[in-house]
Amino acid sequence: MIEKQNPITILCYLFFVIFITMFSTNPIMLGISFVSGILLYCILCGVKKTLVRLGYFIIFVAIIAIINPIFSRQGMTQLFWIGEFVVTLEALLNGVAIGVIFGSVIIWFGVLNVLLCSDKIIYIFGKFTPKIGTILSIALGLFPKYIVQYRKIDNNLKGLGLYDGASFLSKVKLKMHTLSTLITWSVEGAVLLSDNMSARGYDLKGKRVYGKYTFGVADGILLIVSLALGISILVFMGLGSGSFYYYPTFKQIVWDSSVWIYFATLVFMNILVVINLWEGAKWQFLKSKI
Amino acid sequence: MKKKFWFVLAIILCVMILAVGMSACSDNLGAKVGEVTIAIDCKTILQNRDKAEAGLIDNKLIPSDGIILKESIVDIFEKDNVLTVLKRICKQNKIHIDADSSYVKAINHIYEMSVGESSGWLYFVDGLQPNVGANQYKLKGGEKIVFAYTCVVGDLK
Repeated sequence: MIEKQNPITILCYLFFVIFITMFSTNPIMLGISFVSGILLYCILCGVKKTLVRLGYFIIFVAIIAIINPIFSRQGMTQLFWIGEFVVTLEALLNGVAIGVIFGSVIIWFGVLNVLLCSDKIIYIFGKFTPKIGTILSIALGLFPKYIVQYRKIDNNLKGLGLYDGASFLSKVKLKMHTLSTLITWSVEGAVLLSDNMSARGYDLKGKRVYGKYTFGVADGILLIVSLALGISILVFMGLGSGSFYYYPTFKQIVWDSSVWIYFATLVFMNILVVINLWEGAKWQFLKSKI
Repeated sequence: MKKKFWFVLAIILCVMILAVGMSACSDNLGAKVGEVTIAIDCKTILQNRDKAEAGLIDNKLIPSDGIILKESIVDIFEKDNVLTVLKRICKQNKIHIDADSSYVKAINHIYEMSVGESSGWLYFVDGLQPNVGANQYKLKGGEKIVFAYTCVVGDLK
């Protein structure tokens, strides 16, 4: 069903999810966003890819968690001293939180990349800005091609035996050589591609884009729900509900009216997960048992 | 080759950590010159409590009378300046301080810009505000130093 959903609805929903993640500092909100993002990614791409992404995520968070205390001396809970400099628990955990914000946003963009393939992007942008739509779709389509081509060139070099017994420095030089070959290849490809596209009339005025996506009742419901929930969560966050600070020491999380914003976020971020699971269950139920 | 690279990296790291540690330990100040009095206050925050960050109020970091350190007498040495005196007295009285080699960011967890946009720490010697940084003001003995928190420009006159 998500594949058939109108791309504009999905873009709107993911836009709000990413915005809420970016502006929240509360660990509960961040945890909800991170877990929901991972869950959706896991459903869409499978466990193996998710584990690889989680590995990168952990490395990323660890790097920021180490870097933040180097620059920040704030916080009341002192862990240890390095010379004159104190390392505090607050600075460390603030680093972790910043890392989780970045990591969650990257995961949600991964979801966006899966859900909005290039013809969907052309469908969204094609109506009012055809040029930007074309450029975006080409740019997004090029990354996987580049990765495949990079591996091909690298394997060629390996096949020539240049890597055998090479020192660290010359290996780095070979990688640079691979990169430069890739760039030359891509520039050549771009010239060919643009010639092809203009031959097919891409730069003509009044060109329209074909899209097979319709705007149905389910799209309307999802659009209204995501607009209402997303805007209300952002407004309540702006009013100070679920606010949090790390310095001078962590704010005590109290279970008062701000519980509602956590609950709303939990519901909002898991809409697509629930839809997916529901579709799966329906499929299992309706499958013919003859 | 790879092993060598990591080995060199590890040695560089060790040297860096040692250098930081050594530079912190070597504070030879010279002979005693005299005495100064020093006080730290944040009375201006009392009138601007509504502007203060929630963390300051929740953790009760602003004293009810606005005085963080009462006027106290400190010995000064040959190489002392206002900043080193402040750092020493804060260490003695276990008051938190966040300052680099020239600028005081925070005393007692009250940071610059945490009570309004133009707030921060200023210092006065004998009631006047010097035109140089606290790390460049050399002390002769007998001065009266006050570190005060300003919330709005000109509220300390």
